[in-house]
Amino acid sequence: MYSSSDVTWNQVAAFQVNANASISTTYSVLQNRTVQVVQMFIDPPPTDRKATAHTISVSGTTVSVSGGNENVLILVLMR
Amino acid sequence: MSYGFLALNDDNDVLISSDTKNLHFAGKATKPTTPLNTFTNHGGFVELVYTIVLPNRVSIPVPYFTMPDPTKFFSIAGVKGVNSGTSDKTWSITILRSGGLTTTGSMPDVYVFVDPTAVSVSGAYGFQVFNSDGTVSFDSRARPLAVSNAVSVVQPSNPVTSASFATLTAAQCGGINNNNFTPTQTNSYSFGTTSSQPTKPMYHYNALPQTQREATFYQYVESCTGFDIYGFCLGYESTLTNTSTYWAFYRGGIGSRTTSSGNTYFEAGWIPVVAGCYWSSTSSGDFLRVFGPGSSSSSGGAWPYSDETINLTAQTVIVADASRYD
Repeated sequence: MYSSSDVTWNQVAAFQVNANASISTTYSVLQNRTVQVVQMFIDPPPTDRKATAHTISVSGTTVSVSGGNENVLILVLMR
Repeated sequence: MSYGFLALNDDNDVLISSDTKNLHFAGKATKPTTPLNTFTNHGGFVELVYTIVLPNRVSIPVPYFTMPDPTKFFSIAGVKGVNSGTSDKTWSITILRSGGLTTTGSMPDVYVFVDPTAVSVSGAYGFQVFNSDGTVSFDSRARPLAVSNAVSVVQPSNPVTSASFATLTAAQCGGINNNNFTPTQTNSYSFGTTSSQPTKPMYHYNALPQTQREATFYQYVESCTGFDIYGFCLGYESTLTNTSTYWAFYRGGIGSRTTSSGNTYFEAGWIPVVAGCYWSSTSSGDFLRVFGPGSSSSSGGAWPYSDETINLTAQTVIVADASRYD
């Protein structure tokens, strides 16, 4: 359980973004909150080609993920 | 908001909300018996694949690793789920660690957190919060994630300096077992006062940054069997050109914990994961520059895929206390 001095990051969304795909979603719950977006490679990237991670941007309450050539998991966290 | 539940901490940060899901402790992932990959040159590394089964196919696990050896570098290289059983999903979590071979006892522990729909709970009383879609947001019977720190870090763009390179042979990758690419460059970050560090710290950090570095060595040999008269070979003249390009590939990691003046520092550095070499050789020879076998060439080895650093953007290291979940 928590005390009032604890800190956590709560999960707003968790999803997969495939290679060369993009997604942009607005989460109203992010209003006035500190946002953290975590990107995890699904497969360890290969060493015989360029394994580009996706570019993540947060603008207000909108989270955008695009530009990578690997499948990744995205976690949108807030506190 | 006219309905729901919201609990804030002393800093007005959200602790529990009916609009989000708290991450809860799902369990420790199972350690591998042996590393999937090992590599001993250039400081070495091991690739360790942990597994955990979650009782649904929707939730995504968030792994945290401990650092049993604070002199090493660690990171998460992959998190992959495969459906199993009738409604489960088995997740493989790939952890990288610098340094060579390791025993099970010296492997990191991996603690897995996930939304409460994938956490097994027991007991008939407690406190639950639900989202508007009816799924559980928080369950006091499980152990929710509490974070102790979050620090943004980024690696230096180059893991090595050319000044640290020893000269290697240019002939057919003869120096393949070198250690020239042992990473030496890091960026240091304060993680706060040493007294405020968790009892048993664990970290979430992903190996997104990657870099490849290479060094080419060249050799040209000219010889004359006969008489050399003002640069003209009166006899058999031969030339040999050797080129060897040695390379190493790295992924990002954090580690190398130190303390200084009451503060704890970590380094953002590089973990070498594979290395190789490409070579080519050209020879020619003739008598009086007219008669002879002519020229020939050959090559071998693996060719590096690039010579650059990618995905080098700041990432946050999230720190929590594993002792709350033991």
